[in-house]
Amino acid sequence: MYYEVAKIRSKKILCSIIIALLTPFVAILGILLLYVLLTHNEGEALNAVLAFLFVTVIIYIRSIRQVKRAHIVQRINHMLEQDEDGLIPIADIAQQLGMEQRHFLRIFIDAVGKAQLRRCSIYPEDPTYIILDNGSLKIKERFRATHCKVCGAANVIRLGLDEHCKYCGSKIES
Amino acid sequence: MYLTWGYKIYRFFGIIGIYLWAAILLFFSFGIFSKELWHFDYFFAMFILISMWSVHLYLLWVAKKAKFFSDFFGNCREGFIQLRVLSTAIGACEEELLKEIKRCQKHHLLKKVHIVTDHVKYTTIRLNGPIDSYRIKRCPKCGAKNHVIDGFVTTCEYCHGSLDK
Repeated sequence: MYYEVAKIRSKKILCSIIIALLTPFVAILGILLLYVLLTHNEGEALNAVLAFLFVTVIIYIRSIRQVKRAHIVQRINHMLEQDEDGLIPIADIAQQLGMEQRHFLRIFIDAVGKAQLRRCSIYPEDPTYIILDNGSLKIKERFRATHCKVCGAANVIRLGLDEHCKYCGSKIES
Repeated sequence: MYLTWGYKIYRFFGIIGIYLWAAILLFFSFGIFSKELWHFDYFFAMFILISMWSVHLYLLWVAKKAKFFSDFFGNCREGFIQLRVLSTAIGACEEELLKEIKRCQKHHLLKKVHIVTDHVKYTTIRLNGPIDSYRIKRCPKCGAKNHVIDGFVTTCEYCHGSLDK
């Protein structure tokens, strides 16, 4: 799992409840606003309805956005889980999600920053990739320089992930 | 990996944001129904609440950036990274990025992160130590001299072999 299950699920459930509760409320406020405007009963009533409608719509839009974000994070996690070598091109994920690369990056950075996504980041050696890691707090427990047993070429492997020699393509045991 | 305790404190205070939101909404609702509340005190309390909420949002934003930087630096196996690489990764300009990293440092959210600008004005982010932790190590395979930083995985610049015996 590359996402915080409890955090994302609770957010999704909470925001869904808010949306379900606010939908009829927004509709009632909209009808009230129409009624107030049609009966020319302007003044305090109009102000109150407008104020409530404003606050409700903000919470409503925010909740919808949160649910959408949570859904995207779950989809990103699904894609990361399916990957074997732990290096995923950003362009591929963006394409699969049907969004622009720039937009995807913004969401990804946001999710990593909020600790919704974990054990993944942008690959420092090639920023067009997302790199997965084993979550260790020491670099030497994440990476190791080793030689391929088949061709003898030097490789830097990530521990805990399936790695292949970058020259001959044979699997390297971590 | 590069986060301090400050980050946890910032995230903890993130919970307060929900109560601030609730307080603002409650105040707002009361204010709509009873005009008697419309005095200086009411508006002042509202102003304080909104200010606190803005500060809380700002702190959360800084913490979010610090977490992203920490995760990003956590995968720099050589112990240093050029700022322009980070700028390409995020899609932000270098100056802006530098400000953000310095802001995180100012808030004591990032540790062991040092910004070094060399004579050709290339900015490098060095992890662990600015320069003291660099040392020269001979490659056990080809014998070439390499600059390495303790605690990081560095390969020989010439034969790309492991420098660990």
